[in-house]
Amino acid sequence: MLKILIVDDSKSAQLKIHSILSQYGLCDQAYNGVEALEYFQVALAGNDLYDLVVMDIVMPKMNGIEAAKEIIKIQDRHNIPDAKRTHIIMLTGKTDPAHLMQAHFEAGVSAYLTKPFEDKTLIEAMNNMGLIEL
Amino acid sequence: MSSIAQKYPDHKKIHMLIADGYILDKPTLVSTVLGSCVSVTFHCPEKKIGAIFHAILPVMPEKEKEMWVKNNYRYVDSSIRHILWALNRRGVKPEQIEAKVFGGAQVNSGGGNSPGMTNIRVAVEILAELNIKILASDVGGRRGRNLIFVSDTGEVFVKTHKSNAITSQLEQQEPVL
Repeated sequence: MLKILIVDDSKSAQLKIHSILSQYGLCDQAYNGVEALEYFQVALAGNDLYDLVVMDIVMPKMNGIEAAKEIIKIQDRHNIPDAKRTHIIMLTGKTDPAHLMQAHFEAGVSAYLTKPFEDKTLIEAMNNMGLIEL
Repeated sequence: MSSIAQKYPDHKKIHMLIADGYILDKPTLVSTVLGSCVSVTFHCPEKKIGAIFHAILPVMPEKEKEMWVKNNYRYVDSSIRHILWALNRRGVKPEQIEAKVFGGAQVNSGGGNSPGMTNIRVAVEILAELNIKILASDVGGRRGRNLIFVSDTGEVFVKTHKSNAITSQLEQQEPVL
């Protein structure tokens, strides 16, 4: 079973993502970037990192790109080996090139998916990260 | 990745090299190996038509545009424009197309504006300019990727390499199917 964190300020988006991912693992839910970092720090302290974080960009308090950067920085600081690192999927309504480039090349997310999305697109991304096998 | 070929036993199989591209009217599995190069996949769910290219450089030079014989698939910009033209001739409108973007690894670079990043920037900017929806992207990083595209479903299967070897050697590799 995977350990997954869903980060989205929309309850309907949370529900949809949870309905897809709950068959693959246990999902925690956060509603903004600050909460996401709190969950991540707890997981790190317990030496039980998330396999996957699925995160929106536009959220209150801290946006998804800033939160993704922090998650990657924390893992760098703790010298987490590649095989144990948390994968981050950005799942967002932002379709412009600037956000996509920033998410991949500044934050370093593994995949960038745009809303509205189909279940199979999210599942395909997880397969491509080696988290599940189709 | 061989399990994908087993899942689609009746599909034609093609291994795509650098500066190559295909418009696929019949169900086909296309494999390729990407380093800093870029592949964009195009899929029209209504017509079950797919297209893909593997470009090495971002923009076709003006001088080459004037030549009688040119390879559109060598460059990201001309690949996208050529494929959209070809899809349009088959009755596929931009709003019917779903695109996915892959590659652009910073394999030999210390970061900054690497060739891979420039390739990706050009791809996503032209797709946006032409109103093509990017459904998903898996780009950047420091490692190459093996990719298989299923032309009639739009599925893309990616396996990221375990080590960051030299890009040019990666991209000449044998078929992954």
